[in-house]
Amino acid sequence: MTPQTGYGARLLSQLTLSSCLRHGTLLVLALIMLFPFYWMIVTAFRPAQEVFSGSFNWLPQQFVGWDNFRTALADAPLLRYMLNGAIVCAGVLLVQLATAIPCGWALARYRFRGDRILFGAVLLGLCIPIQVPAIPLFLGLAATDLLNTYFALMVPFFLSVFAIFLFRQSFKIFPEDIVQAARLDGLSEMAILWQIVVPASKPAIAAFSVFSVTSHWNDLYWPLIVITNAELMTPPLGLASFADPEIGANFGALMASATIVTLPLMILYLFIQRHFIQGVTNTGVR
Amino acid sequence: MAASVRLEKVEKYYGTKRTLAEVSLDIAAGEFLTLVGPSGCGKSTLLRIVAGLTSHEKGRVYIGDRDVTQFPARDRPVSMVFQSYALYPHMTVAQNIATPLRMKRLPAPARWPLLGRFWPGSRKLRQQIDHEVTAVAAQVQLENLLDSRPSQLSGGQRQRVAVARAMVKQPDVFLMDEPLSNLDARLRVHMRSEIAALHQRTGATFIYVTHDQVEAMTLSSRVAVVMDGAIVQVGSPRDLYEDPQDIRVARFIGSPEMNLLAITADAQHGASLAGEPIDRPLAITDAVVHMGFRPESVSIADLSSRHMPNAIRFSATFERMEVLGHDALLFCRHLHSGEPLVARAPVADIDRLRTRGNWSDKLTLQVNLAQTFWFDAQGSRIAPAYASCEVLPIHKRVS
Amino acid sequence: MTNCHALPAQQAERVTEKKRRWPDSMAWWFAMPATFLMLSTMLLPVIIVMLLSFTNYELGMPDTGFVGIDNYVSVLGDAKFWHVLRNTVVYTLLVVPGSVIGGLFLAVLVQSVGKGRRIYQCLFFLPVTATLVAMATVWKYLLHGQIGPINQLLHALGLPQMEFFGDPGLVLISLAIIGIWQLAGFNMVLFIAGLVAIPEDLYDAARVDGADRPWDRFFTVTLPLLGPTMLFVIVTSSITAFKVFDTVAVLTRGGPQAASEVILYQIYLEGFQYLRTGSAAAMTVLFLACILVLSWLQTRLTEKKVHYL
Repeated sequence: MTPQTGYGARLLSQLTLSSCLRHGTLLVLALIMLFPFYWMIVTAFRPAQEVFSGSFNWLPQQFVGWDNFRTALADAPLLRYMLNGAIVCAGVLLVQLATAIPCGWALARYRFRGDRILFGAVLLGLCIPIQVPAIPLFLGLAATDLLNTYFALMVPFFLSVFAIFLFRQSFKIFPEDIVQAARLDGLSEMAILWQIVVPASKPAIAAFSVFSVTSHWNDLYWPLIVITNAELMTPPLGLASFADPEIGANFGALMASATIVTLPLMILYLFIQRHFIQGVTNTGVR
Repeated sequence: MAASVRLEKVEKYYGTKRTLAEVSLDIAAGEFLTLVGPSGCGKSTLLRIVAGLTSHEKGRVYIGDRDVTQFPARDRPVSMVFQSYALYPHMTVAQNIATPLRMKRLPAPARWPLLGRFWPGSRKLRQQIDHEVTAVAAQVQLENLLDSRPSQLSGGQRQRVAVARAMVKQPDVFLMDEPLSNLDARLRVHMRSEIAALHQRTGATFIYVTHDQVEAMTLSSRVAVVMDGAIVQVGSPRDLYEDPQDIRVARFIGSPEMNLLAITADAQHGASLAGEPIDRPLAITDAVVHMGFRPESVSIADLSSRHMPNAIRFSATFERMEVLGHDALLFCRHLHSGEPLVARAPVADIDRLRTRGNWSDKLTLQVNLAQTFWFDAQGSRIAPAYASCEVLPIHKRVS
Repeated sequence: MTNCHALPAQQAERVTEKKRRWPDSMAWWFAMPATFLMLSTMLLPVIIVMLLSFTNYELGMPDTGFVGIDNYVSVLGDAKFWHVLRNTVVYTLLVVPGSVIGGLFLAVLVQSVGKGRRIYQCLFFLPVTATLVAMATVWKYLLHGQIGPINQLLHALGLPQMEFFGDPGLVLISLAIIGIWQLAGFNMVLFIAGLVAIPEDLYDAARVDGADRPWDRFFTVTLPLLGPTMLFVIVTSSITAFKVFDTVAVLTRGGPQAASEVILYQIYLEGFQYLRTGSAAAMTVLFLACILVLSWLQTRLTEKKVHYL
């Protein structure tokens, strides 16, 4: 049975003026939004004189290959910075998940003495940005001689009230039947949480992980306060200290370093974006 | 004012798949027609095509005598009640009901949230609209709830708001997409009579979609059975029950389902009913035909001492019984083939069998051939095979 | 982009479901690690900050004493503080409408096309993932007074060139552009989550009721049902904008002529450069107060209108 009007013909008929207009607008906006990235990458391949020439060219007139990148990597230990960033983000994320998931589960499903106070504290914590406890934490770390350590970088972020809140919302709608069935099968409460509920909540966990890694990889304020040792700098801090002298001088190298620092996260996001968007949509972060 | 609805060779594709195949249907003005069929058969799609919500690739739609194929939903004289009611959660009941009138009568600037009231003439229009809304709300007993939000209402109340919103437009055609399926059983019965009363009162054309064949049979004057994207049969509920033209219709209408047994013919061995050779002479031209009979046509042979003329007999094992009250349903299995069979008999008869000591696992069931339906291998209704037999003695002839 | 901020207790507690009673010991076993962290890294430091704000503590200085509300008096009496607050508020007032309306516009547009939605979502979210410090340097170049491409474009269009980071009158706008650029994609994702939750049925009902044109559909169905999402986005965007730091620290250092000094930058300088801890603590408390007022105010004003589901 072949349709009278071909499938292709029908597709073409959907190419209305309005849909062209929409796609057109979206493409133009996307180009504008992504222009800084484009410019960053292109400039990383330009020689210094071209950067300062004052004339606008879409592509490098003179292609200097990887020169700028080599300079950038030589002038500043960018790879070291990124390693630090990875260590900090991984450490923070692990502790955040390990503490927030059980807490969110307890708050989501069970009444216990003090649960209202605890949840109230969580909500309060959502309104307290990290910059508020910064001074005392800094003093505490200074007093215990723990400044300039990975621990110092991670400490304020171990607690994530946002994660507790998010997981509570997400766990609230987990079917009670499955939990009952698991209980009947003899699983302990801990096991139920980690072996049954968590694997089923991957989108929410993925969504949160993206939030967490992104914000901690990109954080400047706290590393600026606790780190002075170049060996331990995270990418933003490292770049900020590197950018200072370079801003007047070698824009090409600066753009190259910006590219190196920015790319990992963007690539990570491109890989995980499907789960992330699904996670945000499902948990209804509203 | 009611209007007739006509669908002419409507076809719809979903990607490359054809979901509606050359559907044509004529609905008279003021008629209550139900589209019934299993899930996914295309009945809701048809309804939406009449509403103008879904586009179709081929065919035409006429409301009244106008060809509305190209008209969007808002330009068609139709109203629709959705399965989920689709009430605007941020509006009160009164505002919900008023929406169709506001859209139609108030020009765009008059609808602006704060400044709209200053549009010249809008005050008078609003008052008129309020008046109509209150009137319609009274008809469905919602006067006291006009200021509530949908989230504060029960399921039945929400349904009435949806109906009121449909009524206020005074449409020529009412479309209803499974409006009762979200209600509990008792409420459903009550609302069914409300909808019937509404039809009487307004005299508009009603097109009603449901998967529940009981609803279809009790509400409408005509029922169209939709299966696999095509209308298989259209007729009064009685026609569909007593004279199904297709095996799918025969199966779908009637609860419990019609019993269907395959009859195979073999030149050497003669005819066999689901594997069990039968004693009747039957002339069958196809290799396989289906014989159908409703549970109430089956009787237990052991019961009546009188030999039923023109009956087919077969053995079955009894499995379980459901007592309905006066009657009971006997769920059995055809002894030879294992096919499930359902018989309906008065409880009193069964008791009698039991006291007589004739009750056992194995029963002999019999069906009066006059009450059978015959279908060919493709599922179309054919004349009963036994009619083409040799001429029988008078006392055995079918009456 | 840092922590997101939530809705008030009322909305969270609205979902009332049957909860099992757990033995307290077991429940707290689950909640303890987080509680411990909460006490040690959040509540305790906040209390200490408040206490410090009443002292004249300076890092490294031996003698400290309670000075009562002196710090607050001097901070609130300092014209500089109000200047800084004003800058932050102006920045917030620029970024919030821009990123919220921008995010909404993008979300509606992206959801309105049939194909390619995911690609667009991904593209518009990319700026959110970019390291702001890195991108700040890019923007510095883009908006450079002489050699930046934007100025070259303006020049080509016959418009006067602008000293984006050199002109005190323009610097907040320039920073706001960067802020909007980074926040719009994030808001878009949140709005898309909200849009997806709107039942398709409502649009059908609206069409039958006569609200067929895009404008009518938007105001009859889309916008009202985005209420809770809208509230959430506005609150989080406001707080994010209020916490601006990275771009100021890297690009302008508060200049030119203190035109871009924002509150967090001031706290940073006060507490970690000038080491006037007591004073910085007082500013921190005031900063917290502003944020709490911001969230509370916005929620209170719109909550009744917005939660009807």
